[in-house]
Amino acid sequence: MILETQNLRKYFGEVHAVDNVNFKVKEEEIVAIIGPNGAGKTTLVNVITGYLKPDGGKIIFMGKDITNASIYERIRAGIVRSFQLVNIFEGLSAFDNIRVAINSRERKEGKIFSLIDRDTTVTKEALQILDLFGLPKDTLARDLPHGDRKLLDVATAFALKPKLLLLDEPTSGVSTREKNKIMDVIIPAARKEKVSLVVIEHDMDIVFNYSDRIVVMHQGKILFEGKPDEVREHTEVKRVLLVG
Amino acid sequence: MISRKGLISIIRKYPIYTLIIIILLTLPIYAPSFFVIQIAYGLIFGITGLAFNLLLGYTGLLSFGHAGFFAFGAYMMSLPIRHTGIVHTLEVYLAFAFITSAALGALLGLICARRTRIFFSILNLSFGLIIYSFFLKFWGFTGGADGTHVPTPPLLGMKFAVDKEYWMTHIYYYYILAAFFICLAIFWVIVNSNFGKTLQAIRDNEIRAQFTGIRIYRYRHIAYIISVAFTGLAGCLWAPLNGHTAPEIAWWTYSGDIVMLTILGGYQYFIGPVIGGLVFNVFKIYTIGYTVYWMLLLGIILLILIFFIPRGLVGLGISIYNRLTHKKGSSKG
Amino acid sequence: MSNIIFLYLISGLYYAAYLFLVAAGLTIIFGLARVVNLAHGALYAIGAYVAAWLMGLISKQIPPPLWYIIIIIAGAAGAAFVGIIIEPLLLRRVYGRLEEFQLLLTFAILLIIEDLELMIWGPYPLAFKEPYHYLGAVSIGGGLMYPLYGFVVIAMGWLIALFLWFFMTKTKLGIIIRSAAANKEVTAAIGHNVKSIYTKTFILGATLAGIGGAIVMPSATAQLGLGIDILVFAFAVVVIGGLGSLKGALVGSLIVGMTRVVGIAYFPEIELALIWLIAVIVLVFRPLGLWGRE
Repeated sequence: MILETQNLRKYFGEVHAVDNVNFKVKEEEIVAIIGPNGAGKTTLVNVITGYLKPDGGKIIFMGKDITNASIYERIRAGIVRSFQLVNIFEGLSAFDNIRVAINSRERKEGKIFSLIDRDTTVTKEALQILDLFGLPKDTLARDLPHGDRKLLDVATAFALKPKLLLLDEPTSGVSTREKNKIMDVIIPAARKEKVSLVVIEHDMDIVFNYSDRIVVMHQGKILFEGKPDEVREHTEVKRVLLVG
Repeated sequence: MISRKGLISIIRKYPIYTLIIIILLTLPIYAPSFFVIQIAYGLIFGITGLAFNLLLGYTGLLSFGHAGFFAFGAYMMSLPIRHTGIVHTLEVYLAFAFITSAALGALLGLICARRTRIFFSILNLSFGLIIYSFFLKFWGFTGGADGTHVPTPPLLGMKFAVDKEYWMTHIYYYYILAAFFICLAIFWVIVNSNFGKTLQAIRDNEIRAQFTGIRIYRYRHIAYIISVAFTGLAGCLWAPLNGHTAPEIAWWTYSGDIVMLTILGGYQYFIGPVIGGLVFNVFKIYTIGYTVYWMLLLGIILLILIFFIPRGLVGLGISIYNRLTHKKGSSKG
Repeated sequence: MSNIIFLYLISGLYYAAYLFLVAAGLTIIFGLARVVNLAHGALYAIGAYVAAWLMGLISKQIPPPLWYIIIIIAGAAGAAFVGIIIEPLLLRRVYGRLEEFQLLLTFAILLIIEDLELMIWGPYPLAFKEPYHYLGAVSIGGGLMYPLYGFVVIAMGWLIALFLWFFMTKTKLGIIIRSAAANKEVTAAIGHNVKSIYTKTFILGATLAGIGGAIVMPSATAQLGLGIDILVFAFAVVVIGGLGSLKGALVGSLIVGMTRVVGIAYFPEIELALIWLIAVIVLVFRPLGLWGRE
C-alpha cells in the first residue's frame, strides 16, 4: 500500500465533502475516482495533497503519517498532483515549464549563478519529456492549444518523478479523440516510471479502458470500489452515476 | 574570451545594441558635458530599473517604495562621510551600501515577501515613507531637509587632479558605465539562471509553483533582497554624481518615477528598464528645462504608454522591426 | 493637565475628520473597482482650490453664515466635476487590467491634475481664512483656546460618516454599490447597469474628498503638492483600517489622527514614521488591515 487514508474527514459547514473515507492506493496501481459532481472527489485529492487541511482522520503515505505535513514535504515525499483547470506557467515556454520542475526535483531551483541553458543533463531530460508527450519546445505555454496545455500540465507533474500522481480530470474540455491521445501518453508513462496513479475522470469509456481499479464516490463517501467489470455491473453505482 | 569571429557574429545579430554600446563608450568625446552627465544619471537609473524589474517583470511584485531604497544607498555614503569627516575610496561605500541595503531588504522582506499585489505595493510605499521621514526628521544625524554634502571620492584608490566637470564627464562617467555593464551582466545571469526561471514560474502561477515543490516565499524574499541591494548600490553611485543627498529622493513620487521608467522601457523585456532609464531621465531633464508643466507632459506620455504602447519602447521597437522585416510574432529582447 | 489632554483629543478628532473624508472615498472606490486611486489626494486638493477660488470671488457679496455652505458645495462640485471626467474617460479602461497599469494611470492623473492646478491657479497658495476667524475661539480651560471652526470640521466629519452609513445600508443605490462590490456578475445579471454604478461610486468618492479639502482650506491654504501630501496619510488610514471597509476608514482615521497629535507633541522626529510603523505592525498581524477583505 503506497497511500492509505483512515477515516479522513473534510466538512464545509453542513456539507460533508469527505466523510470518513478510507481510500487506498497500491504500488504501481492505476485508480480512477468517479462520482457525480459534488461527490467529494476533488476535495479528497485536495486533502491528500495538502491543499486543504483535513478535519479528522489520518493520511498514511509509504508507511508514514503525513496528515499534518506541508505541501512542500508531501512533494518531496513523492506526492504530486495536477489541477482540474489547466495550471501551468503561462509566460514560460513548454521547455522551461518542464525544466523548472526538474530543477525543483533536483533541488537546484534556487541556483542564482548557473545559467539554465548550460545544464545539459536537465536540458536533455526536459527534451525527452517533451518528446514523450509530443509537445513543442519553444512555444509559450499560453499560446499552446488546449489539449497540449493539458498535456503540459501532466508532463510537468511527471517531471517531478512522483511516486504517487493524482490527476484531477486530465482530459476535461478536450475532444474524445484527444482524450484517448492524452491517456495513451499518460498510462504507459506511468507504467514505465512505476508511478501509482489516481485519476479523477468523468468520461466512463476512459475510466473503464484505462484503470486497474475504480472507486465510486457519492456524497463524500466511498460507495463502491472494484475492478472495472465489477463497477460496470453494479446496479447501485449505475443509479448514482445516472441520476447524480 | 570571445573570439574575433564570435564578436562579429554578435554584432551582426544585435546591430542596435552594438550601436548603443559604441555611442555610450564614445559619448564624452563629442557630446556636451551636460548631456554626458544626464546619460550618467540615466545609466544609474538603468541599474535601478534592472533591480526594480527583477521584482516587477520577473517576480510579479510591484514595489512603490524603491525610491526609499535608492535614497538609503545614497545616504550610506553621505552619512559616514558626514560623521567621520574621512573620505575613503568609493568602492568602500559601494560595498557598504550594498551590504546594508541587502540587510535592509532581508529585514523588510520578512514582512513583505509573503504579500503580493496591492498589499505588497502599499507595504513598500510605507517602507519608503518611513525611510523618507527618518532622513527628513533626524536632522542632527542626517542634515534634515537640507541633506548632506557628498564630496568627490577617490575611485579605485586614485585621486584625480582635474576639475569637477571633467571628473564627472570623463572619469566618473566611465566608472558608472563600467558599473552599469557589470550590473547588466549580473542581472542577465540572474534572470537566465535556474533561480530566474523559478521566479518567473512563481510570477506566473503561485499555486502551481508551490505544487512543483518551490518554496515561493523563500525565493521571493531572495529576489527582494537582491533588488533592494542593487537599488541601494545605484543610489550610492548616484551620490557623488549629484554631490548631495536629500530626503526628497526617498519621496514616493520618485518611486513612481522608477515604476514609470520601467514601464516606459518595457517591463516584459530584460533591456526595457535600461532603455527606460536613459530615455526617461533625458526626457525629464529637458522637459523641466523647457516648460514648467513637465508633470503634465509626463502624465500625458504615461497615458499614451498605458493605452497605446503597454509593452513600452522596446516592445514598440520590436513590433516596428518585425513589421519592417515582415516577421510575425514577437521575440524576447 | 486635563485641558491639555482635551486639546490633544480635539486636535486628533480634527485630523481624523478630514482624513476620514479622503480615506472614505478612497476605500469606497477600491471596494468596488479594486483600483487604488493615487490621484485621490488630488481630488481633495481640487476641493480646496475651488472653494478658495470661489470664495475669493464672491465672499464679499454674501453673508458670512452662507460661506460655510458655499465652501462645501464648491469643493464637492469641483471634485465631482473632475470625477465625472476621469472615471468614464480614463479609469474605466483599466478595470481588470494589471495592477501596475491601474496604479500608473492614477499616478498619471495625479501628475496632470497637479500641473493643471498650477496652470489655473498659479504657483502661490490660495487662501480664504475668514470663515476660520469669523467663528473665533473658545476657551477650553487653563488659558487654552481652541478655534470654534475646528469643531465645525469635526462635526462635518461625523455627520458625513453617519450619512455614509445610512447611504450604504438604507438606500437603494448604496445597497446596489455594496452588492456590486461583492459580486459584479450577479449585480449585472439582475439588471443593474454596472458601468453607471462605477461612475456614481467614483463621483461619490471624489465628492467626499472634495468636501474634505474644502472644509480644511479655511484653516490652511490651497497649495501645490497638497494632494500628494494628504494621500500619504489617507493611505495609512486605509492600510490600517483595511482597504474597502468604511468602518476601517473611520477607525483608521481616528488612529492616524490621534497618533499624529501625540507624535507631533512628543516625538516630532518620527511623527510620519510612527504612523507608518503602526500601519506596518497592523499589516504584519492582519495582512488586509483591521477590516479589509480579499
